[in-house]
Amino acid sequence: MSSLSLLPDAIVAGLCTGSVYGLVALGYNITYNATGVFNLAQGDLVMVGLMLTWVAVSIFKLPYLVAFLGVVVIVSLISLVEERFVVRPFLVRREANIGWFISTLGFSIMIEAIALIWFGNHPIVPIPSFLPASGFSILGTLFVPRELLVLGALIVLSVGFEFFFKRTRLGLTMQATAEDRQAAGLRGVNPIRVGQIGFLLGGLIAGVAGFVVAPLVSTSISVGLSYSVKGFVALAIGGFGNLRAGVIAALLLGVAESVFTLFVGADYEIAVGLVILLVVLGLKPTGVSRSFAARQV
Amino acid sequence: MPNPVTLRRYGIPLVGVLVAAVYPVVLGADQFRLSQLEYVTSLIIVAVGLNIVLGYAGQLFLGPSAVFGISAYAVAYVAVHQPSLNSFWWMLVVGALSGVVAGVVLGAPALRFGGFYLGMTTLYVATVLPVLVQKVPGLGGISGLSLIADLNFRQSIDGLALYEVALLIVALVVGFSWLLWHSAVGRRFALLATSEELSESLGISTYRTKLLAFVIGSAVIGVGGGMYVHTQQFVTSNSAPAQTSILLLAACVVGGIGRQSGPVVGGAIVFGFAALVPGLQKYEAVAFGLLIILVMVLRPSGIVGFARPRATLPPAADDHDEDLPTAAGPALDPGARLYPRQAIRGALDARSLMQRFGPVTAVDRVNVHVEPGTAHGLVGPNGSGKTTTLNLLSGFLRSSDGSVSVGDNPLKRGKAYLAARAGLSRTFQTPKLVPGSTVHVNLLMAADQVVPPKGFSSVFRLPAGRRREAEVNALADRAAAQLGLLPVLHVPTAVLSHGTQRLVELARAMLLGGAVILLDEPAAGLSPAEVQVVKRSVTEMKAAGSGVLIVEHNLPIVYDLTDEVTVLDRGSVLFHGTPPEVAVDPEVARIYAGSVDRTDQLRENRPARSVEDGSSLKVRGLRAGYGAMDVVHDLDLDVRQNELVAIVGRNGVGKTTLLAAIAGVRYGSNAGKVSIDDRQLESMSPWERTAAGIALVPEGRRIFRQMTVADNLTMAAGGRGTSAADIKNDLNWVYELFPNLQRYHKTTAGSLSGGEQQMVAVAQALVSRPRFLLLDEPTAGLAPILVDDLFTTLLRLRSSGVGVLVVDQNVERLLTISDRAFLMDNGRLVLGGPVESLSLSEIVDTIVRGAAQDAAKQEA
Repeated sequence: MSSLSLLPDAIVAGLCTGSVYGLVALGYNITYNATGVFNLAQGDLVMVGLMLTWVAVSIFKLPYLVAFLGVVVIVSLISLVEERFVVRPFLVRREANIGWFISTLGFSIMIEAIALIWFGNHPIVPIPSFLPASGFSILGTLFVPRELLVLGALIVLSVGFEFFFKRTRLGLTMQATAEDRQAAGLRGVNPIRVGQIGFLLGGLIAGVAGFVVAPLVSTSISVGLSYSVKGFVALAIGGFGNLRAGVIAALLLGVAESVFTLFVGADYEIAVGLVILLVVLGLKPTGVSRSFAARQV
Repeated sequence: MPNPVTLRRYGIPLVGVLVAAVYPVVLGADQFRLSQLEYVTSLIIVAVGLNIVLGYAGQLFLGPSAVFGISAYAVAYVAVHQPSLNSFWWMLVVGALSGVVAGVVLGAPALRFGGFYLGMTTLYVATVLPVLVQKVPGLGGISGLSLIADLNFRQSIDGLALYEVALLIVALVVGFSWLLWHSAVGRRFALLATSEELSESLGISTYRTKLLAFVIGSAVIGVGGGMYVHTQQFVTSNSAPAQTSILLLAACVVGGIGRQSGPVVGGAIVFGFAALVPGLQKYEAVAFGLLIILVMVLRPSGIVGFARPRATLPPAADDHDEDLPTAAGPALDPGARLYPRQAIRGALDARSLMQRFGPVTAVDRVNVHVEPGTAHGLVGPNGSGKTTTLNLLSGFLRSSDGSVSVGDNPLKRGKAYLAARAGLSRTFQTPKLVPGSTVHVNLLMAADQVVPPKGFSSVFRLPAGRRREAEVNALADRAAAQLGLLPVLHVPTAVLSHGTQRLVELARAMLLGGAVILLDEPAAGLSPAEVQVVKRSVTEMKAAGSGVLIVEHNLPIVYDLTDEVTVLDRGSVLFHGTPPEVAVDPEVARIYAGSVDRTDQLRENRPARSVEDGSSLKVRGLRAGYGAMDVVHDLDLDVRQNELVAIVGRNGVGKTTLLAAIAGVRYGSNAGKVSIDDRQLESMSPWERTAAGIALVPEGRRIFRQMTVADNLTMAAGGRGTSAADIKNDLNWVYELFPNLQRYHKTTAGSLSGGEQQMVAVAQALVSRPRFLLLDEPTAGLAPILVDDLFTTLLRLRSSGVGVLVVDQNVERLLTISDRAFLMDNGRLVLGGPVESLSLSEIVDTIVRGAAQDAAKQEA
């Protein structure tokens, strides 16, 4: 009974956690569409964003707006460096290969290790936010502004990118490249440029995500891999390359975890995503990839 | 004195082992240091297990720490609760067994997904496991299971002896890995890693093979788990964090994925470094992350790969590559016939095969019947459904309807490996071979399917396994001898020429020699001498009682080889008969050359050319092809800016490759000069060439189907400026040329009819305002009225100063609108000039009846 009355709270909390996964999934999808590569360092880029937020806000005491812009720019630049040295060598090879799967994973442990060297001796400390930590209640359900900010960021970025891909010429060329890389090249599109822009945007999303989740997770270096994995689960459920479906799947995943914790307990929460992934893939082992293949027909 | 290669191959590892064994004795090592070294050996064993799954079988297994953790917990649990099983050796056994169980439980579901899904699922399990084990009752929570405090437990081997035994176990495990790789089982893994399609075509169930690799790898990983528990005497949730999985991956990658000694070298570096050089732990992960990236980018074969020379052709074979098949002539000795599966004989019978892809029916009620001992040809223009039919017959596609049987056995739809086992063997359009393996090993892989291996006796070289190995070796040698491949027998197939690769494939098909052999374009890209070998092989196959089904573009070769021919057109059977009947059939001529109905109407309406010649597109000495195979040879061509030039010819002569090469799309080798006026384009990418004024409309309507017509045009516009006004200008210009498109501009391109899609494709090329428009088969699948519309538009473009180069099967009509036309054959322009000087019947004749080769000879 008491569990049931907490359900609305759990759903709101789940939507906020899901928003983090959604931001990771969005980043995955945009780089994937631009290059055909899953950037397995996406979750670690979010981690870099949140650690830099801490540096900017707590150490350098920068104003929040400056901190935000600085974080986004730096993470985007890291993502660009990754594109150039970790991903592009595989894109220009003629034979198909998935060496990038291993190299982006290598990049992710590298930046995690660098973060550990810089911040390793610090205890985990909270990161301040310009929004209040206390929530307000509507109809008995708790809303925490800091958490809602993540959901807000996800909505703004999703809508923004939807507009970008549908309405701008650059967005259209990226969409075309995602559908048929070679044909886009014949229509005057430089796929390498598109890949760079994809990674730039992926870094931008990771930077924004890092900034908005910072107050919620404190200075935690090890979250990266877990974000990468959860984001991928959302992606696999929603279908590769489908921005909207990926975001929705991420929100559902967050809610599922939160509701599971409410009714069953937090002990096995970490396995919820795994079970969902196995069930979805088990039910339609080709279903997800078919939606991907159908785009290429 | 052993040769340098042997020395390097066996000497270096031997020295390494000796150093590792002697080092603590000489320098002295306390218990702590020994325990650290033993920790390294247990993770090296895990890396060897990972290498079996990742390197040998090519499965993206990213969670070895999960299997390692599970088996370590299992070993510790058993040792605590069952003191009789807590000796060193028992721990290894329990570890291996629990590894097998973990492998099955994890692998059976995860392997169904493959690829990225497998990678992420297993990585996810690796992140979940350390958290979960703390919650499972009986596993000791956060502090885990410890044997140190257990009064029942004493290490059954300890001190220096334990370390030396641990090294021995590493050596045994690597030895096992070596035996595995060099056995029939290892060959099956290599096939799987190369291509699932190829594995299935030889009759291998890919799922079972994946699971086998997973289970064997997990057993080895479990041994590592047992070693870990015995030497460290505890296990906690920190023993197997997800990061360990990534370090293990690093060990395999750095050492060399798929090399037997790779994980040992890599594991010693990755784990030994951290254990032996204290204070550097902080930096190790940075270094390994960087190392993974560097190795993957620069040298995927890893450190062990650096130590080995790259494979090359033996010098003799290199020089005489062209002569190889000819030299093989006498080896094609009918007396040495090899048909081990002579027992499997029977007719191939396919009835009313149907294949729909969404709304499109690619194959419509096609019947194919091939009697034993006969050869049957399957021909038709591009897009007529030949390849789809072949894939339906061999089970690579699951037919929407219809049945296939071999002899009296009906085949299960969509199960290629069952079709292969029922006696159906095939070759592929582009040869599929295991590139890193030699010709001999590639043939062994086929022989393995003829004499099915007993995995255990094969890996451990038991007498039965060795007898069998001798048998398959003899089969492989005989197959190689038959096709004249003995000179290159021990050369990796990756370095062979395209033609020789095809012959290896053919040898493999003969070796499998089932009831029916399907040959997919066996003569494409072969030299005349090699074509002779193909012909003799087909005769051989027929003589041995196999049915042969040949899909081939080169009609003369089909007429020459086959007893019956089925002609496909747009997915259904157009004609069926003997080669002479097909050669004279007017319908067949029509689908290859186009209709002859409206003769000179278009030509009469052709507007006069403006007198002054503008710029021109020049092609000089162009060579292009796929991989090692040249399809276009030293070709020269000029197109002026107000001229319409046509290139015709049968399928597969290099027309598409020619256009792609001019537009800058590279499939493989590519040389020669392309220029507009004096501007050299050959080093430019496709998008730079588009900016320079070339626009190619590729075959098959490669528009962006998920975008609207207007978006399709907008993304390609901007050749004369990218302001909003310029783009609008460009769009208005093409809407004027294709008024219908304006009506559809908000429609998703993929939902338009085929004809409308083709218009979008042409409009999309034009919207960039090219000076030269290249079109590849623009009329394929268009209704006649639309063909006229399109050709009228092309003539308008030509008058407005656009140079047009068209490749099309609709020869008749194309010639009525062109200024100049060329006939292409075998990668060269063999006939051509102003259309007024050309004889249409001569051209059609050469295409359909294959007189082109004679023409080519006269030219030469």
